[in-house]
Amino acid sequence: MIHVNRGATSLGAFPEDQVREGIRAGRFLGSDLGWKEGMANWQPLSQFAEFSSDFAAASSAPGAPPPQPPAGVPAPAAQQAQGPSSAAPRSGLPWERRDSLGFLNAFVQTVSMILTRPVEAFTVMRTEGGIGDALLFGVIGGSIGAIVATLFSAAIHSLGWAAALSQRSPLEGMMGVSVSGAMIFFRIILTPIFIAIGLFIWAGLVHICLLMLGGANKPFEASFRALSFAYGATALFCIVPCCGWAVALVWGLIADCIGISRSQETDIGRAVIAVILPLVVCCGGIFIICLMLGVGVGALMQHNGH
Amino acid sequence: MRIVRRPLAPGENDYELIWFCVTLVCLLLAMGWFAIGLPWPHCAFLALTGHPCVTCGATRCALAFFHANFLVAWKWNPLVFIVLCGLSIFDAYAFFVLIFRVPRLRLIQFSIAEKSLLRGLVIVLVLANWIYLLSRPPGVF
Repeated sequence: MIHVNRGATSLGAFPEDQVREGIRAGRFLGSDLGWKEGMANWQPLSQFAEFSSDFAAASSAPGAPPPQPPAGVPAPAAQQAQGPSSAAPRSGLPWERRDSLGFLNAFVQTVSMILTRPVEAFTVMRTEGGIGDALLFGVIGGSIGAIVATLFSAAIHSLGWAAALSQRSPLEGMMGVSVSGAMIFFRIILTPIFIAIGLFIWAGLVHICLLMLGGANKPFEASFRALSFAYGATALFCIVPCCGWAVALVWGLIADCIGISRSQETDIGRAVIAVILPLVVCCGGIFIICLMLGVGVGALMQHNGH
Repeated sequence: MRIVRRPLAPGENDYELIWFCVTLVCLLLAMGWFAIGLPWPHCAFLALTGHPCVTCGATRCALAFFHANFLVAWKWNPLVFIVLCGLSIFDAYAFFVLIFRVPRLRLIQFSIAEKSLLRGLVIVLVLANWIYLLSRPPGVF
């Protein structure tokens, strides 16, 4: 068995014949890294002596048929191997091209794309290439939403504090303000850590559910990237006072379902169940779903004039 | 299904490092949470229906587990106890491979039958756990 990696992504372990066939068909590249038992380190497939004739045959075949995705090889790997035309659908989100677009421009374009054209966004999103850029996007978007919401909440509460403190001594007032300020400060400092940890746990739970449903056609990395991008964009709704969190929650779940479906190339039903299942198993989720259903039924009844 | 030991490829996602950090930070945050006396999480399902959910007792199970009261932890929630055991074993393994920079363990070549068996096993475990929790005397949770 030969283990094949492309960049940060493991494409899997394949028998030698399948790798040979994949090289000839253009599904595996010379730059892909390979490893088999007995080797100390990974090396490019082009440096495997047993595949030299296959690479030569692949490069010298003028009328070779267009390469097909191999069985068991993640689709993006096959898409990259197929050349620019078939790689176009996975051209990447603007955030993945932030070096050329600029940091702020790429962020705004990505948020706009995920919120307004989620199907297109998650269709072009790369499902490989590491988790760093998706994590950064999720942490930035989530932190902006959470920090603004925290500051807004503190501003509202400060009105109550001011009234309460006016009835106490100046020393007690100073103490109260200092403690409250310190708590807000630590909450803001800890927000990015909470978000990063939360994203990993959420993506892990959804991916396990997807594995249970047989819908995980790509590695964990693909699920993480989709959920992280979805969260980074939708969490910005938390900026809106009072009802922003509810919009972020509902829109986030919808974006998660679309993101999982497109990134894992699975049907939307499995994606929806994979996203909802962790919430249902965990008690809080049932409460939230009941609340959402209650609000929905209430709105419907009002609409119908009951 | 096979277990192989292989080195990490250059630039490959280091999942041992990622999940070790995630579990460690979670543990530290949980310790901090309880140390400063913040409120325990409450189960909305239990409050609404009067019956425990699948994860009811998880907090008390974790507390007992980390105080080495394993039997007590098992009684609170067997499924969470198994998960905590699995996480502890994984963290010990991750710590070892990260410190000593040794090849990583990977599970490969799952057959369809093995995947189905694993899925069935997880479903049975979750359901058995819930039945156990529902069978406990009222007022325990």
